[in-house]
Amino acid sequence: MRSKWNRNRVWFCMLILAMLAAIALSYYGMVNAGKTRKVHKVSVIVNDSGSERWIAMRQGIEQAADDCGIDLNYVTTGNFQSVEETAAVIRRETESGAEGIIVQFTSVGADMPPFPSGISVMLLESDIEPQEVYPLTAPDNYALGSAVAEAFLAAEEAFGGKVGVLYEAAGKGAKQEALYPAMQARLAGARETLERAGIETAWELALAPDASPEKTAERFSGVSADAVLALGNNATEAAVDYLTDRDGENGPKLYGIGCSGKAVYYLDRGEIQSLVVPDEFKMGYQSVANMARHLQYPLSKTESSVVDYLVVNRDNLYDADNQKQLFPLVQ
Amino acid sequence: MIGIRNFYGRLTSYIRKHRVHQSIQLTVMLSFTVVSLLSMVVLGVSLYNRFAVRMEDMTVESSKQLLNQTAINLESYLRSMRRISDAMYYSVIKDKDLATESLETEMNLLYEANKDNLISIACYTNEGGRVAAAPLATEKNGIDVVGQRWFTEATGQMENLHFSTPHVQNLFDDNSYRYYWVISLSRAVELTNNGNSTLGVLLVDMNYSSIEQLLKKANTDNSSEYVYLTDSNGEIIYHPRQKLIYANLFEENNVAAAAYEDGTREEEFGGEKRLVTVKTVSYTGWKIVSVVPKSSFNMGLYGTRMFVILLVLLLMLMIVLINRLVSARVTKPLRRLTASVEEWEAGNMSPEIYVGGSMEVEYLGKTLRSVVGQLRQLMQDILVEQEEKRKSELDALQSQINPHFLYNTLDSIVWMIEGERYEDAVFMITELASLFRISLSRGKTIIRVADEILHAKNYMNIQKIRYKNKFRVEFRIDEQILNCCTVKLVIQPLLENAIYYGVESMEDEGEITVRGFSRDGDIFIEVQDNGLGMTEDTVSRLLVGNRHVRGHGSGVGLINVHTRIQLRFGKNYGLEIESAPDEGTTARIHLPYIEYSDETLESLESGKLRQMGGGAADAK
Repeated sequence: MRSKWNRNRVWFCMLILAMLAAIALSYYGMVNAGKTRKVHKVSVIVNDSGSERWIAMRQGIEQAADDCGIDLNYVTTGNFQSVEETAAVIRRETESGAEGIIVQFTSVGADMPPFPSGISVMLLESDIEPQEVYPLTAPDNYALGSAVAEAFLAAEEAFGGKVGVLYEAAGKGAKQEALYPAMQARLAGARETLERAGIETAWELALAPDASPEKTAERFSGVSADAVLALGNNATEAAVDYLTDRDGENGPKLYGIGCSGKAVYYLDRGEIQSLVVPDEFKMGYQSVANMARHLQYPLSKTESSVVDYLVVNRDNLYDADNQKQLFPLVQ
Repeated sequence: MIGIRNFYGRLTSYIRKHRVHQSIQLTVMLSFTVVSLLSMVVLGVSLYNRFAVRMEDMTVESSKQLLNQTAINLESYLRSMRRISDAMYYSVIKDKDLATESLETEMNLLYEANKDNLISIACYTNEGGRVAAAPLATEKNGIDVVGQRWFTEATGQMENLHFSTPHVQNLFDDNSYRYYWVISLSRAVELTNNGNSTLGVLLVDMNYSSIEQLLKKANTDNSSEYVYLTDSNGEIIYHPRQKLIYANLFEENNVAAAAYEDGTREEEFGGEKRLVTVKTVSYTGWKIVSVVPKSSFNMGLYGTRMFVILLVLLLMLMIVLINRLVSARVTKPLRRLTASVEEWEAGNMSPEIYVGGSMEVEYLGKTLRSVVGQLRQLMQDILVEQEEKRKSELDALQSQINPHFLYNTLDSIVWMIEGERYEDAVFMITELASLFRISLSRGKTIIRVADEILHAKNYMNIQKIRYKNKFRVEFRIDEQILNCCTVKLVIQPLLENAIYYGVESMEDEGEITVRGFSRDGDIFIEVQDNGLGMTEDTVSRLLVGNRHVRGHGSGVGLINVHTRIQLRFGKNYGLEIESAPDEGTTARIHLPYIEYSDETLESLESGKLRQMGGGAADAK
């Protein structure tokens, strides 16, 4: 009888302890109910942040930051001349408390700069090939090059003229002819597609990013073609400025890759036959959403992702689906 | 009803089968606690549900108010756009002959007055030719105005005003590379040219951002509730996550929602339950839709739920503690009574039985106390009775000696006196007196070994005279045992047997030796004769009460001695017989070694020594 009483007393004590524990838990739950999850700070660093070509991407970035509760800093930048410049901005941002960095690197042959430890990194449409180390959100550059060539082939079924290819080189001086890996892939995609169709390019011209208008005009002075494939946004805009405008109605038919308002405008005017447009909004959104997921669950692995692209021409530019993707809602 | 009864029956039978006997306190506490907790949980859940329903009602009401307010603002905006269109048509176009007058001035004025909300105003002929436009801008080359949706809708249903869904304006060339999202308000108009009426289309392109700003105001809070706008077919005009929908990163149930009647309904979309409130905007048929995910209620109610759980737990804790105290208080008398019984069970024959508490428990206590008293009295009575019985038996056994011996001795004395052997007679009477003095021993049953030996010697002296020294007797007694205790009159029957069965019928002189010694902490007194002896079979039956063994004698048997020793000192002691035919007999008395004193005498006389230890060994 006595032992049974003792046993009952032990059970009673355990019951009281369990209830106290439950009270503590529910109190903790009640006190923390109104608290929102931690807001992570993420900085986005792209080359020439004010460029019109980033408008759609910036919308995606801001939408994702809003959805995921990210404290976003879209860093104002100019044209980066080297990886070191980018690295300096990264250092400044991490010192300001950024927990995640989304960065676009543009430099050839440069090594990846060291990132401060404990920082989550996501690369955006970068030309350095860091996929083995850091995740990358970018379009499939080879596919973009192929798409622009296919758009040309589809429009010019029995083409017998000269085809020129205009691409963007990496930098000045000795590296003038060097290519970004991204551009190399686009060039390879375009070349191989044309070769499969039995077409050889008449010329392939590199466009230096820092060249003055005079230098650029001089570079274009000796070339002419019946069709030009421009493999980047800048290349497309330059082709319009220096070839189609120069030659007027006799100018080459232009097929380009780009997403700026200017490129779309010239497509609308008929000076560009087809435009391959990467889905920049999705690229921006996915990069921030993946970064937010990684910051919230640090043990999760962030995968690289490939964004889609759209091929538009003057006839389908205003199709309901195309205009939703091509034109930012509010400028 | 039958089902409930069956369930109740099964439940009670299960409880009966698996019932574990618990303390009354636990039973009382559990019963109180379970009833209280059930009531409290039911109360808590009911209150929480009531609160949750009220919250939901309030949210729905708030959504409706928000929708109504948004609808009012939107209708007001659209009305103002219609007014612009009406003003342009009825006050300008209808009054002008295009052959002589231009619409530009008025159109520009109207545009300038409303340019915050407008992108452009334009008027086209039925063939798509531009009549006027504000602000002035270059029209795009090769543009197909007639094929555009706003145009076809206006000419298709000429009596109506038509609001388009958002689209990028595709009319004018803007060399700053800007494109505008607009909502087109178009209508068919009658143009006058040289007095002839022709058909035309008036287009007012509203700035989409005005509508966007208007609806953004309804989406400013951080909750997961949101508002969006569709046309009557479900095509999205505004959605807070519009770009995500366009990029296929988000899905909305807009087509189904556009078909809903005005009001609130619950729907499940994308694996999520949500409350959808729909309000139709007048004239346009547009639908403003408010979506409140059910999970947002849970999020909002999480703190409340935790508070209710905390409250219920605190009350539960209090109830459990109070129940514990109350049940302890209620059952305390019963527990004290149980403790008394446990004390009694443990061997305390005089426990303090608790009497107190409630009337029933007090009655139980009193009854128990009375029962314990009665039992104790009964046990004491039994003890006394047994002791009396033992004593009387002992007395009876002892009384068997005296008459026989007295008869024989007196017979011998008579015989001596008749034979004029007066000295012998005097000696014999003296010995007899000494023998009787020791036999009486003031009524004690325990005497010194020395007295017992003296008694034996007195007896043998008497017998030697009677038997004319037909035998010799020798006493070899260790000094150290003389002051020990023995039951009186245990040697004399052995001597008597040794004479009658041992040496009486011997032709030669018989020899009887009495030895007394101590060994292994016990006392042994042997009476050995060299008489006829007995068979083993006879020896084995001597101490089992078979009186037929004896051929003749005083009737005082060995059993008498054996029983008396065992009654007094326990079963470990008594008499042992060793004998063989023609070799004589040895009768050995085995006694515990107990020094004679007043205390031991008193203990042995009262039988306590034997009682306490289960044997006289305890007294050593």
